[in-house]
Amino acid sequence: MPDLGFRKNVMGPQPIAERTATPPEMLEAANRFLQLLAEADADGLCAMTVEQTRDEVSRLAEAVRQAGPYNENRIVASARTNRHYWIKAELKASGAKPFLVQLRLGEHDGRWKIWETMNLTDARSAWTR
Amino acid sequence: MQRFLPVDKLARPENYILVSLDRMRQARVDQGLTPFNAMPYEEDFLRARLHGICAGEMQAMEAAGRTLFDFPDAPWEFQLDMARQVWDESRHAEIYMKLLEYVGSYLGEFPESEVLWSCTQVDDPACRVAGINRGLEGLACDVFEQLIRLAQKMGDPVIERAVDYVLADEITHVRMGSKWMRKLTEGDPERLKRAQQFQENIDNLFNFSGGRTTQEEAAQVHQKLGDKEIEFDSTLTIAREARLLAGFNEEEIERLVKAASRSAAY
Ligand SMILES: [Fe+2]
Ligand SMILES: [Fe+2]
Repeated sequence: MPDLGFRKNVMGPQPIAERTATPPEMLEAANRFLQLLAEADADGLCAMTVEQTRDEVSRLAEAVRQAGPYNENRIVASARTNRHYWIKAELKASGAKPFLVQLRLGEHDGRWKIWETMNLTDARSAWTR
Repeated sequence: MQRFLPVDKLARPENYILVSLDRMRQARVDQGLTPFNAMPYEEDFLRARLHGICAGEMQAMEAAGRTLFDFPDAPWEFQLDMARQVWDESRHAEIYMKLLEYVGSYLGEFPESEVLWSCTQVDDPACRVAGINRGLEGLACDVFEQLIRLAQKMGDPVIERAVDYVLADEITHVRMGSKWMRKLTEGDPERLKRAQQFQENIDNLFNFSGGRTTQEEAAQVHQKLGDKEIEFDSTLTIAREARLLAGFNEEEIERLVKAASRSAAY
């Protein structure tokens, strides 16, 4: 669709607000988490996770250990709910089936932590019940 | 092509975040916010609200198309109404995509939930129009009316007029829903009751436990919107006028208001 966004050369109303910047510290934390996930490092992962989600993260690490190992990761998408960020990412390795995961990160005591994880590897979408 | 497309088979681009309503609500609770949609006093209200609407417009477009496809034996006039609605909703989606850019957002900034699409799982067209056209699009009338008032307070004619154009269409969609809910269930009170029940479930899902009041009862709070500071509703309001125009009767509106205040009790 043409003529969306900031364009000084078009007539008509211009945006009344700037976009909200994605915090670089959040992306750093997400990348670190994905690195640890690719290595199925359950202890390292749990250290980055809020307490109530650690069991879920341990299970996720175990699923990665069985499917992997992986040596590549890529953030596919991100979105936010207030100041919590959703990250969809893919782990890859030659010869292994790609591992698709969706995370939610939020600040906790001044550090970016994982609040929720979803293994989307065999799901048709994140709306799969 | 498959009829009654399941919720998780609705196609979306890979780089798009889908989150179920339950998880979205949990994400808000974890941040100390009310579990339902962004409230008027939140910093992100305009962005988040317009985003939710835009996703809703797209699903409304898809749902009306699917309702046309899923019920090939429905009356031809019903199918024509659904086809018209597809066209309306596609324009709404475009309008809201532009409004998103206007308020410093973009499609995909927030996740998309499955709420509207889940109404397409019901196998009776009378229930579909009751749930979507009367339930969800009735709710859209409330939401749009509040946005228009907010834009008026902000002195923003772009949002005010754009949303007003869309509201005019939504009112016809609700009327269309009422018409077909009655026509399709003529002589079958049981079926009518099921459709009304289905709509009531949708209404209750969005009662927001006291997060909704009438426009008159909405407490006013100080809010900062960009560089403007205004007094505005602290709750989501029920738009009596727009709902009357859309063909809801006083009794139906009163029931909605009562249900909203009742759920405030627990
Ligand atoms: Fe619409
Ligand atoms: Fe509509």
